[in-house]
Amino acid sequence: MEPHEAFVNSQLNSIDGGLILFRHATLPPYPNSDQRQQLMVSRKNPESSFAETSANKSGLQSSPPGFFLRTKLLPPRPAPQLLSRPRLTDRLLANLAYPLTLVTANAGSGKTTLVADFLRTHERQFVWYQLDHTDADPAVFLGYLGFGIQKLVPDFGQALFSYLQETRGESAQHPERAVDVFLNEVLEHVERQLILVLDDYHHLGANTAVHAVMDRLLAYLPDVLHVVIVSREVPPLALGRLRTHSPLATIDRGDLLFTDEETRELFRRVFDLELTPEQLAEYRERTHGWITALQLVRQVAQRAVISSREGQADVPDLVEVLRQSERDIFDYFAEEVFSDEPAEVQDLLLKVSLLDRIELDICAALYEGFNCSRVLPNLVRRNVFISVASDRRGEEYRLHPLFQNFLRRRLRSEIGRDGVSAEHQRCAGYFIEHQAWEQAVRHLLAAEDFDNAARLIAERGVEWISTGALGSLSSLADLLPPAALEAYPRALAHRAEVARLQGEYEFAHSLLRRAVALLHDQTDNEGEADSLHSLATLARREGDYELAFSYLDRAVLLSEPNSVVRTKCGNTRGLCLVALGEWTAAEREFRAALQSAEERNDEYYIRLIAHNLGTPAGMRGDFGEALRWLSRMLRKDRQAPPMPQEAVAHLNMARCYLYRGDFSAAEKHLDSALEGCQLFSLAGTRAETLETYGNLYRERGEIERAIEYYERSARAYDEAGVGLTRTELLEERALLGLQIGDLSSAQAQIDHLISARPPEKGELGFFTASLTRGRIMAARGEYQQAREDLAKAHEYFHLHGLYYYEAQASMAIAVCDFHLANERGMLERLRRVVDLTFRYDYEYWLKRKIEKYREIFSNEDALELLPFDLREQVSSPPATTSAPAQVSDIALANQPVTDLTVTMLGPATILRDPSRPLAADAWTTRRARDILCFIVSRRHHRASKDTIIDTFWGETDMGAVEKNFHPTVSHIRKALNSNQPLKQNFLLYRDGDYQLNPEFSYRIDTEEFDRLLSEGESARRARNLDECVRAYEQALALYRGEFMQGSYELWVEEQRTYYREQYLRLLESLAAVAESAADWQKAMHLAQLIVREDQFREDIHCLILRAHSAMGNRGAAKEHYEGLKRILENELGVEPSAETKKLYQQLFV
Amino acid sequence: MFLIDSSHDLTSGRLELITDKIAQPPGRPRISRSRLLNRLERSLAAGTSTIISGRAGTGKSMLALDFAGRCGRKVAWYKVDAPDSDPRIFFDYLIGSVREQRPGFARLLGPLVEAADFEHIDALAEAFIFELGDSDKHDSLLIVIEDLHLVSDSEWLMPFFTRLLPLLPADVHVLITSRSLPPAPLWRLRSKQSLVVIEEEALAFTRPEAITLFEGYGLSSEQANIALDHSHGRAAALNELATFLRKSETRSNEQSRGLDVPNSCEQFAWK
Repeated sequence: MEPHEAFVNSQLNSIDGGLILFRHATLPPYPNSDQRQQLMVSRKNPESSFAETSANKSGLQSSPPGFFLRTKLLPPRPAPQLLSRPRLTDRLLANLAYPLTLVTANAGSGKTTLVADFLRTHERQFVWYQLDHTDADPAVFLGYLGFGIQKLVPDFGQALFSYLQETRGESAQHPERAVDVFLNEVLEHVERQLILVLDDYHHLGANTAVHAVMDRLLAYLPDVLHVVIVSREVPPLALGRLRTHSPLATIDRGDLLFTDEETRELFRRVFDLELTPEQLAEYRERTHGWITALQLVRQVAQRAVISSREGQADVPDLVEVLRQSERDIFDYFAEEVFSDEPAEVQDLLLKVSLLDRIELDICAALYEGFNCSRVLPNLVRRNVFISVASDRRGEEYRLHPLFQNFLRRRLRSEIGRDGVSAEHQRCAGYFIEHQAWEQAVRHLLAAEDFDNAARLIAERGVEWISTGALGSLSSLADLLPPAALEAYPRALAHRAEVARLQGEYEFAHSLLRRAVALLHDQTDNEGEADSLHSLATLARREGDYELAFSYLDRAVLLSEPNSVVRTKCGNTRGLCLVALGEWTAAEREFRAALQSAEERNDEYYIRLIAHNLGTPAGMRGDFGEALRWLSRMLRKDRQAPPMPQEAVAHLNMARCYLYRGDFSAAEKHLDSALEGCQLFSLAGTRAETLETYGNLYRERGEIERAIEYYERSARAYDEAGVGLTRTELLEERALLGLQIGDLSSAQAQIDHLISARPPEKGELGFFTASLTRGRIMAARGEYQQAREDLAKAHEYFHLHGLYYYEAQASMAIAVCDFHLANERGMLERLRRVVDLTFRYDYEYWLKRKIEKYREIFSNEDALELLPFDLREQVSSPPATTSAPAQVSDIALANQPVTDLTVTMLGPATILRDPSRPLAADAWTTRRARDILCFIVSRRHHRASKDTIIDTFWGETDMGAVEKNFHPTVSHIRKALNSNQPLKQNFLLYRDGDYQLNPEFSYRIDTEEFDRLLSEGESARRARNLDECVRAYEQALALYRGEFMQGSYELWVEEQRTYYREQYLRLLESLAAVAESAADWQKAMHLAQLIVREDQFREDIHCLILRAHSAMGNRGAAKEHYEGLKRILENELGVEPSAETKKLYQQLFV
Repeated sequence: MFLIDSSHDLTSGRLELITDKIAQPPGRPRISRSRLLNRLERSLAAGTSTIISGRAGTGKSMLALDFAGRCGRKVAWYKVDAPDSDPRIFFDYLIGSVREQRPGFARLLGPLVEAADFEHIDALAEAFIFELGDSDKHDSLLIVIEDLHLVSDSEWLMPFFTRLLPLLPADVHVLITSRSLPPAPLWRLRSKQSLVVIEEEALAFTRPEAITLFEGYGLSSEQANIALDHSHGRAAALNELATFLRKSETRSNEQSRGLDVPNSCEQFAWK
């Protein structure tokens, strides 16, 4: 067998940190001299120098990382008195059919209140995500969204959290991949509609990759999700490209402003004040319906009432006040409100204004003298610009942003800069104690305590980075004066790490070099070693292995034995050696690194390195050894969350099993690999997996399937942006050609590959292709030339310890020697073949060779080389396995691949892969199957959601529809993926329509039927009778029965009638042709089919009579005529027509 | 830590030894094969070395393990891996494994290996022998080198062993397991009475052995006979079959049905 060279993985970029980085869009050229020599595996990526710690360890846990602040997902509690605004909430409701609602207006316009009120009154499932500047990292952002959804859908998040942890900061570089993982999980797990509210989106700022996350999310948003963005500004998203973004989906300041009616209602119902028409006119003029101003007016009005009651007269001149800017208006009123509070409350308000997030327990700890648990709720109750978000387990208070601003300014003027600094220091102390590093640094910076801020980053950077909050670390570190950072070079190193993770390699490099020098001065050996290791990973990324080694050497010298740095250095060195093709040296490094990880019980690195250890073994051709190591990557506990690296491990294991001839194990691992690729959106690995399926089917002799899978693989490589000459696919196809005897096609493929892969681009790639070419030439009988090529390849394999290739090359040379009558040479090669077979257990392969080259092994001396059981094989009769497919049967040319086959003419059947039927219970919901057929049978495979609801739910009340609709759609998607390793989303939701995903190809019998009909018609018009008959007969074969047999829905009827008519028309035409050709047997058969459908067709009965007559069946004809008479008499009460009678008379009487 | 020149230390791979590789693996065979153990015993008494050669799954390691447990000597175990084709690493491990049993072994040889250019491999072999020979204070020793085939393409290997094996002191015996026979010069030592080779044919289970093995699984001799024909006497395959039959038998018993032996064997899919 020749599943060749498969230990390539074109998309994971290895690291010792254990991240997976896949680059479908921008796959870099292979970094080393040999293009295929990427390891079989490991390639995770850029070794994170600060990798271990919680994130690494937590790579093995499934729940969301611990850094999530639960309170950020709390919805605001509705204000005690609230005016409902149906004109706006109805719009929100209507917008749910679209992906996005945008609520934008400046501060204090009532955005949040509106959305919160809508959610409260409409009882929808929702996730409320309160954003602030710390959420500007894609990993943090998606993590919170996932965490929020998991609270509603418990199964959600396994893949997402695992992915985010494995990629850590890398998601900032390729956020769209993380989004794909997120979307896959939504499709898999979320069945009921869910609203995601992103409150205060403007806090993210303009320059964050989160916008790219949102763009992708919105572009592919599944129908079960709806996003509401609440923001002061229109977010910098590609909304224009969102075709489904309806103009009504934006609610802006103009919409939010209170109408007169609402203002009156507000004052009447909520503020308990009745406005006169004059007052109303004045408020409208002055406030333009700005809710905050209205609230202020109300506050002042109430005061005025009280004042006048108490005989005071300092009622402000509202007209004058309202003429100022909004901020001044606010300040004016805030001053009024603020001064109303007792001194203790004022003091507390001023202090809490410094906090970004006001949680009760934090306040209680920070402001012990105040009775926070009483004061804060009381303020909320009185609506003093403070609201609360809460669930049963805790609460968070939120100051009105304008009010917070006001308070901060006020605090500063009251206690001065130093006083504010001291207060920030106090906060920082609290957060340090509670290990909230980010908030602590923020307060230290505000207090201008740069020294402590830098120290904190230096000490806690590892944990910080592990949470994925890269942006916050870099932005805070960048606020430090350079001197502070240089005094703590570890902080500098962490900053460099963030730069590296964010893809700013040059910047990272210069920072690291500076850090190394400073750490050296401070004799911080461990820190220096870590930074040197980071530099080594950068050098490895550049393909400068010598430089990488020199950094690693220095790092090893500085680090303690069995330290994490040592483990990482060992792994990185191993990866460099693999890239250089030095398998054995790489194995040695990995072994040592593994031992050090084992001594530290570092389960994460143990798995990762054990897997890496399998790759050189696999390259050498020791598959048993490779499997032993590779399998250690797989989690033992099936409950544990999946890791992206496992997909690669499964693929590599499948390859090993395939080489050993264990097909069922190979297929099992391929299925698992494919599932992993789907789950984690690993496009390149998916292509390789499909290719390996092709190899498996080729080995099993299932040629057509092999061709199909190679085609799928080619498509997948294309999608991943990988050029085919960089893959093994052309070679595998050439081998398929060789196997089925299509030598010219095989030769063409391999010549193309070799021309694209000259030796200077990578020797291994060149020589493996040469091996294949040599074998093809030998098959063509060009033994001398083949032998010369093969000898060169053989020498290369032998020198580099690539035993599996060496065995193959030796065998191929032996074949040439046999034909060139060089018996001695042949025996020498065979001896090596047998020796290698024994050493590395290639028995499956050798048995196939013996089967194929019986005449060679029948040589007495050759026979002597084999052990007795294999000798028996030579002497036993050839196995009578199914004959290999012939070229004539199979065109190697690219065949179209069908992703989904739907047949509806007859009982409906739905099929993806003929050899893997969908699960028996896939369509327990009949309605789900029928909806799919409905969509399939519509024009452009598309049906609007409304049409579907009308057709399948009809008059049912909307509540029931709401409850059932999304689960049914989800059921369709799941059914189509049941029992299939390749999960695909066949059903898209776009512009209010459901449609079959146009990226896939379909075979739909009704469409084929229509096409054949029209082809036949054209041929008939062109008087090409043969062509016409051919098309009609093919169409006839497709009609297995009436459209959607067994289904009696209303929508079926129209199409059923149409196809039945077409079918009858076909039969008639063909019957006519048969009659004119005097093919009476056929004419009779067709006519009988017609009368089975329509027994009153006298013209057809006449045809039957003529046929009987022509065939001399007088008795049968009489019987038939009597039968017709009876039917017409009984059913219609009439006699046969005059024509029928006349014909019968003519023919038989 | 005082390291004068680290580059050599790093590039030559003189890292810490992987302890698993020089520890005798756990486990014992299900049955002891006295026929083979006796041969090994005779070889131990008469010569200085033994090679057990056979393909994967023919029971080499199990036999070596069984013998090591019974031979009454101290056992230095060395599991060879592909990266050990570098002679420096090979010697590190070889010395390391002996040192496990004879602490302080190769005080002289150690530095020699470090400085060696490996062109004069004979000298290295002789130094090794010399240090082994210093045996007055020591118990006799069995050195097991497992999976030598993984490095048998190395050029230094044959000169070393052809020198080493004939000259080993009487109280030291080297037992090598390998999937293929080492190149001719080595196994020719057979004629000189210093080397015994147990080949795959000898490793194959005989009928009585198979029956004993199957009895251990609670299976009948009839089943053993059929399995033996299917497996060509290969140890791993026999064990796998026995396990398979045992399982299906248990299942069948649970369903109160008799086991159709031949069918069970037929159903067994060969890998």
